[in-house]
Parts: sequence; C-alpha cells; structure tokens
Amino acid sequence: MIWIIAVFFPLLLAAVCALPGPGLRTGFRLMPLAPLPALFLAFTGDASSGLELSGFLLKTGLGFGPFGNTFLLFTSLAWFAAALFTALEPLHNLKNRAFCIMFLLTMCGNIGLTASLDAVSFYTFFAFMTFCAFSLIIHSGKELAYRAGRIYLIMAVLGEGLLVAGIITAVFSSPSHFFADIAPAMAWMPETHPVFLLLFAGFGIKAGLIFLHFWLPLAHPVAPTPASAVLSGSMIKAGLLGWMNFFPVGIASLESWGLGFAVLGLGGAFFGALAGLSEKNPKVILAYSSISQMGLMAFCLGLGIIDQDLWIMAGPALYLLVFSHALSKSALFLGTAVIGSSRSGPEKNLLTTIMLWVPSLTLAGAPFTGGAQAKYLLKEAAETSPISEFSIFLLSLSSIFTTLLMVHFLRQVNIIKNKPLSVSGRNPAWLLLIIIIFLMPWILYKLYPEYRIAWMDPGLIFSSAWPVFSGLVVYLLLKKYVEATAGRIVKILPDIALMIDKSWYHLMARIRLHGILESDWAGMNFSRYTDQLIQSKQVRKISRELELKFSAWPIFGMFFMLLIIILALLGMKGG
Amino acid sequence: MNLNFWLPILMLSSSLFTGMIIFFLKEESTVLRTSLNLAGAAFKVIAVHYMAYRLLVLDNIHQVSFSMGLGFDFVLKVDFLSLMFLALSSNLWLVTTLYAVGYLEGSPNRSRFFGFFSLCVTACTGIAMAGNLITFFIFYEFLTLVTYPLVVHRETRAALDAGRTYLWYTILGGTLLFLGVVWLQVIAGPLNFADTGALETLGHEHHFSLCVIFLILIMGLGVKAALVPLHGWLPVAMVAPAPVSALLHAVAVVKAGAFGIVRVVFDVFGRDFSGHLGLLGPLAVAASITIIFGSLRALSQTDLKKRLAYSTVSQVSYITLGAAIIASFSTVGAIVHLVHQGIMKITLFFCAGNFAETLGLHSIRDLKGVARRMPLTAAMFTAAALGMIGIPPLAGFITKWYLGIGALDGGSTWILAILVVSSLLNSAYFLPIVFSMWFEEPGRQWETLRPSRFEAPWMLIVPPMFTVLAAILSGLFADWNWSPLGMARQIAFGMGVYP
Repeated sequence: MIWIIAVFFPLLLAAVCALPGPGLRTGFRLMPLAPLPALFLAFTGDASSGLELSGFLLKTGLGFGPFGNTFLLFTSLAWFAAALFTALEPLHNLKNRAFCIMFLLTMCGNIGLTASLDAVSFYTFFAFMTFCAFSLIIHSGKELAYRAGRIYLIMAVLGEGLLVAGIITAVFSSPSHFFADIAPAMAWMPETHPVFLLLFAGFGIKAGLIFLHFWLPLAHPVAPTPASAVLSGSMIKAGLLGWMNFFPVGIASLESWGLGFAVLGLGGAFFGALAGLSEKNPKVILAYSSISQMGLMAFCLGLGIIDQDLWIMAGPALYLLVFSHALSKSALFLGTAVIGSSRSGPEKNLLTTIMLWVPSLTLAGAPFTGGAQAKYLLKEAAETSPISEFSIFLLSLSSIFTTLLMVHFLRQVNIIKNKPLSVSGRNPAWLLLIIIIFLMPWILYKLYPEYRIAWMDPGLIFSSAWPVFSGLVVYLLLKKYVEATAGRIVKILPDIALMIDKSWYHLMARIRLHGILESDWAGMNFSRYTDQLIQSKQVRKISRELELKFSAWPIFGMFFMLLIIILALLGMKGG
Repeated sequence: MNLNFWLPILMLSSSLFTGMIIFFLKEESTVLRTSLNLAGAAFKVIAVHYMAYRLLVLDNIHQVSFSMGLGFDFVLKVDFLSLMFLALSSNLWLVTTLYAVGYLEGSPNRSRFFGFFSLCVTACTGIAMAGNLITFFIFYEFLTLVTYPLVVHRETRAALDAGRTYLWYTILGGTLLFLGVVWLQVIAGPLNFADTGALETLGHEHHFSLCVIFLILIMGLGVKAALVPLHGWLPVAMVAPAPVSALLHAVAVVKAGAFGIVRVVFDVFGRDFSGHLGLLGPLAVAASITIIFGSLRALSQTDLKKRLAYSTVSQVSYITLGAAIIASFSTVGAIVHLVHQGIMKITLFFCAGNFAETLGLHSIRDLKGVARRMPLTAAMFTAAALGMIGIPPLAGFITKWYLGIGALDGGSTWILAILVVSSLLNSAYFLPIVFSMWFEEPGRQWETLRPSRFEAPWMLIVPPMFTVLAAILSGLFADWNWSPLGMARQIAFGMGVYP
C-alpha cells in the first residue's frame, strides 16, 4: 500500500491542481508534499518490502530493485527540493495550472520508474515522464523553447521506438517481464545480439550519451529553473537506470559493450566539459556539465559490465556518483535563479556565490566533499580494471576539466545575470539543498557504512586535491586560451541538432509533396477509373459499333439458331 | 426453445425492430425516436452482459440453426470471439447513438438516419454471432446495403459520389466472398466455425483450390478491412456525418472485414493449417504494406477526418497482421486490437466531430490553439492519439506489445521493425496535431456554431469521455481477467491458462 501511495501521490495532488477555483492555489502550496511518501519509503523501506500488483498493466512489481534505494532516494530528494523551491517562491510564470499539473505528472513518472520491478511498468513510467516533461521544456512559449522541444520530441520518439523493440526482445527471451528474470536471461545472450544495441542507444538518448546528447543542452536550460533542476538532476538518470536494469550488470561480463560504455563515457566526460567551456549561458554550461558527469557514470557502469567481478567496486562508486551529482546539479540549477535575482545586493550575491561553491566543488570532487568519495571509489575500481593504464590518467584529467568547467560556470553566473527573477537568496529549499550537500560526506558515511568511506584519509585528500587545485590554477592563468581552444575543439563535431531539425522538415516536405503518394494513383479510387473507362471515346465507339453489328438480322438469326441448338443438346443430354 | 435459443434472436431483434419502427416515425417525434433508440441500445447492452454471464459462468451454449436448403445452414452460435465483438458493438452503439442524437439535432432526415443506423448494428450483431461462413456472408452483405444510406446521408454531390464508390467496392468484395463461400461449400461441405481443423484432411487433395479459396475470401473481406490496394473507398467515405464515420471505422464496416479475416484464418482454415499451406506469409506482407502505406498517406493529409481515415487503414491491418503470425501472442494481439482500435478510433472521430460541429473546424491547420477553447475535447483527442501511437499505458501499447512478442515467437523479426516504423509514422502524423492544439497560438477568433453551457453540447462530450476512459483503463488494467486483453487471452490460450 505504501508503495502505491509513494508512486501515485503526485497524481492525487495533480488532480487537486486541476480542480477549478481554489484548487490550483491549494495544489501549488501542497506541491512539496508530493515526493515525501517516496522519500519516507526510501529511508525506511527495505528490499523485501516490495509489492506485486496483479491486474495493473501486465502485472506490476513495485519495490527496491537489485540496486537498492539509492535511486529512489536522490530522485525524491531532488524533486522535493525543486517542488519546495517552486512553492515557496512563486516565480511569476510558474503559478500556472498547466505547469503545476505537468510538473506533478512528470514527478509521478520519475518516481514510478525508479520503483518499478518489471520492464513494462518501467517503460510505462519512462514514457510517461518523457512525454510529460515535454510540456515543461516548452513552458516559456518562446521560439527557442519550441525548437528545443521539437528536437527533444523527435529524439524522444526515436528513443521510444528503439526501446520498445529492445524491451520486447529482452522480455521475449526471458521467462517473465520482471527484471529479476530479465537480467539472467540477458546474460545468456551473445554479445552481438541487436537487443543490446537497441537498449544501449535507446537509453543513451535519455542519459545524454555522447553523439546522442545534442537535444540535452537545448532542452534542459530552456525549461523553467526548477524543471531544469529535476531534468538534469534526476530525470537524466532514468537512462542510466534503464541500462542497469537491462544489461546483466554483475551477472555476466560483456567485454565489448563494457568497453563501449567506458570509451563513450569518457569521451562524453571530456566533450561535455569542453563544450561547456565554450558557452556563455550558465544554464547551458550546467547542461553540458551534466553530459560530462553522465559520461563518468557511463564509464563507471562500463567497468562493471566489462568484468562482472568489478561491479562490487564499480557499483558503490556509481551510487555515490549518481547521488552526489543529482543533488549538486539540482542545487546549481536552482542557484542560477537565486543569484539571478535583481533584488539581492552585491554582498548578498557574494554569499550566494560562496554557497554555490559547495555544489561546484562537490562535482569537481574536491576533498571533504561527497564528490571526493565518489571519485576515489571510481579510481579504485578503474585501477583494478583491465583498462587501468589509460583510464586512471584520464580520470584525473577529467577532474581537472570538471574544475575548469565549474569555475567557468561560477564566473559566468556572476557576469551574466539571468532574467530578473523574484527569488531571494534565502529560499529555504535552496539552503536545505546546500546544507545537505555540505554534509554529504557524513550522510554518505551514515547511508553506506559498508562502502569503506574514509574521508579523512590523507591519500584520498591528496588524490582529490591536486586535480582541483591544478584546475583552478590553469583557469586563473589561461582563462582566455582555455575558452578559445575549447570552442575550437568542440566545433569539430557537427551540429547534429540542426541536422535533425532540418532533416525533419525536409522529410516531412518530401513525404507530403511526393509525387506518388499525392497522386491520383495512390487514392486507388477504382470507381473513378471505371467511370473514366466507360466514358472514354474508345469504349463508346466500340460499343456503338458492336450494337450496330448485332442489330443486323443475319447475326441475330445466327445467335438465335445457336441458342436453340444448344438448348436441344442440353435437353437430349438431360433426357 | 429456451433462452439459449431466444437470447441470440432477441439480440438481433432489439435493434432490427427498433430500426423498423423508427422508419415510420414522423420527423418531429424526436423524443419518441430518441427514447426508442436508447432503449434498444440499452437493452442490447444488458442482453450482451447477461449472455456473457450465461456463457462464461453457467457454460450455456447459445445456438440457433436451421437449414436454408441446398445444404446451407443458417447458424447463430455465440462463442468467446462473438461475445467480444458483440460487447464492442453493443457498447459502442449505445454511445454512438447518444452522440448521433446530439450531433444531428435539428438536421433533416433523422428518421431515415436512425432507422438505418439501427439496421447497421443489427448487421454487426449478426456478423458477430454468425456460426458459419454463409450466415456471416448474409449479414455481411446486409451491412453493405444498410450502411449506404448512412454514407450518403447528407445527399451532397460528394456524399453521393462517395456512396457510389463505397457500393462499387463493397459489392465487388461481397461477390468475391460469395464465390469463396460457395466454392468452399462444394469442396468441403457445410462447415461451422466451431469445427476448426475439418479442412486439414482435404489439404493434400485440394491444396491448390484451398489456396485460391483463401485468397478469394481474404480479397472479399479485405475490401472492408481496407487492405491496400482495396482501401480506396474508406478515405472517400469519410464525407459521412461524424457518428457514421466513427461507427464505420470503429465497429461496423472496417471491423466486420477484419473480424471476417480473423474468422477465416482462425476458425475456417485454422491458424496452423493456413500457415502450413503457406498462406500467412503473404498475408503478413500485405498487412505490413497496408500499415506503412496507410501511415504515409495519412502524413500528407490536411483534412482531420481524412487523416484519421488513413490512420484507420493502417491500424486495422494490425489485426490482420496479428492473425497472420503463427504464435499465440500475436493471436491475442489481433483479437485485442479488434476492441482497442475500436475504442481509440471512435474517440478520435467523436473529437473530430466536436471540432467540426461546435467550431466548424475541418482542416488540421485550423486546429491551432483549439485546446484553449475546448480543453476537454483536446485532452480526449490527445489521449486517444497517444494510444494509437502505442505509448504506454494506453490500449494501443498492449496491442503492440503482444504483436511484437508474437512476431518474435513466430520467428518473423522483421514484423517488429514494421511495428516500430509504424509507431514512428503514427507519431509523425498525430503529434503535430496534438502539439498545434495545445501549444500554438490560435490564428483566429472562434465562431461558435452551436452555443452551449459547456465547451460543446453535453451529448457530444459524454460519449467520447466513455470511450477514452475505456481506452485508458483497458491499457492500465490490462492484466485483469475481464479486460479486453484478459478476454483475448482466454480466447487464444483457453480459460485460466496464461503465460
């Protein structure tokens, strides 16, 4: 029962918002309550407390999957922060029925997919979230948002297509549609089976995997700030969770796929950072940073897929990475609204900037932050992996790049004021998030006592300090050069979003105006064809001539005689 | 002579006699006509449920049969599949009647319209309960004739043209069907749907004839089921009033063809035997071509109803496709799509009718921002359209899921690709409409043709509400034993045996 409430409570509040009259105001104020049952469950529930709903969809299971409560925990926390932020500081265009309802529906989808134990409900909630989020992205109604929304939708639909094929294939080859059966069945599949490619690409779109990422820097920043926060903080991880659910993580080793994850992941980590460095808009920088961080997570997942035994180390690293990124990214996005406030004076801005350093440093993995723990575990896992030679170096390098990107963000967010929003620096939601991130090492220590979290260890402090420090130094000395170089490197990759946009228009125009499809032929109106035939000159001429001939007496007489003979023959035969 | 005999007769007469009485009513006696209509429809719904209870719980077999001479028997026999089609047609008849009453308020020739409307449903009921091919054929032709006056109801030039095209196609299809039925009778003697497998003994001797008969039967039925290239009448016939299009596309004509194909494949030839004869591969290819072609054509339409019509061409072939795969899962998919396509498409046509009737909007271009004026209708349209695309948890997804798993089970992976491409094309022609309804600025002032308290007269709002709710719930609670999916599973796998 508690699972049903946890997943569907946002729907109830959405219904309240939809009520006429005071419904909207009530629903708006109550919005922060929506993720609370899920949050409560994430803390108190245990792995065996799941629930099976027969009769719902194709039989649904809700509960903690093999990956425990981490996903539910950060998802509900991120949504709680975003909802509280919205409810306490009604930004002028957010106290709007459409926004509230869609925000809550998207929340339901996101929480539902983290709690799903079977492929069908997972996919259902996944699709529900994807399509509801569309309306959040285009909420502002500006041309830029529409373009972003269009590309988002095209990619989402393509992704759904890949996923439905992949999921059907995966479920077909396993005894049931529950993940508990799917993962072992997938372990038996040959590595070359197309199902892996379908799932890899299908979820890769959502997770912002490099080459499939281009919709993300368009869509995430144009949404209203709280929506951006959850898009980048929590919804993006749905793709990651999808991979983890369908790939036989920790059960079998798929070397080439693991390598694919690792290489594309690291590629994304660097590309995201470079692309972010060449941008000016703080929210776009954050979106690119999400691509970069998701790349690290894909790398981490890849380690676990290359070798099943590595998952014991890569798994915890991944949980910590996901957890710290979700909260930090939410805080950073919300921070852009806080600092963009025109009413806060310069000294307040200084305070906000200092507070913004907390999540930034966490992402960069500075010592004494939650991020340091995550990166430390990641490096440990990478060290024991078969690809340790180059990955250790690249991981440190990526930390430097992340630091560069974060400093770049902090600079841009102060230079360029966002739209003047009426948000005070004292928004409790934001403060709460910052405090949680500040205390994250301790929280992680309490949450995951078994992960050997040792944040006072000198080795850890040193290994996490030097990349951050060198990043800072490089940025301070070579700021201009770094930005320009990043811009040059990023331009090597073509603008795929533009290509998609153009090809969509082109394709539509081609299909609409295609000669064959538009022709009379395609209408297949046979009655019209017969009309044309009957009324054609040739047919009329032939029929007239035939009629004239038949009306001649000799011919008529001959037919008559023939008929009599035939009848006589028939009569004789019958007699 | 008991209820087992009388209940099927009552089912038929509940709409047959209502129809006949309505012909003699004066044009002005609206109240009497409406109450007669609704009473007939409501009676039928109750009778179907009672019959379902008797069949499923009490295990009674409802059968009516007598000889028509020449070795042809008239047989009505209710099995699970009949029951499903009966439930679909009777329920949708009820909501469509309500809709039609609201839609045609104050227009001429209503007695004629509702008379034939009732006869049309009688034909559907007969088709559902027919126990052999000849009985099926009788009602099938009856359906052709009684829908003609509905198609030409407006009596405009376009309507009359459409009616002629409609007759041209369907009479030809009927002729082919008749040929097939008689030929089969000559070879195999009287065959009831219940004795599936009887043809298998003839497989060796009459291999070629059976193949040709199958082809003829499918062509005859394919006209109504709108298999490409026999679909030409369907987009033309959408000039009919919205309730007629709704009924035509959802339950009556198109579905009768698809139901016939299902009967021929499953009950006359038997799925495995048809596969053995090598007939299902080509059928699957034909269905796939229809699915893709219909969607491509739908993309290029600018008139809403026309786009929906081509979408029907595409979607109904899911049923044929499911029937053409030798796997129980796709059988389930085919049978369940009989219902799913019906409830989703009828919703879309109701909504299209609402736009046309309240605001005079026909072209897709005019629908910009219409959600601000008619949010409820737009929401219902959106839900049904998303269902058509196959987005979970709506009904269309369930069909796609079962067809997909069946395709893999039957060893034809390419069908999965067809399903995905079809979903993409469906999104390409539905999502722009949805987008433009909700998010684009209306380029003009709305002129309300029919003022009412709500966004449209209530009789135009309530019916699509029922059907869209059915579409959502039958997807959401698909696993329930008495959902359309549950019923379809019982038909395909037998009672209580689910994978």
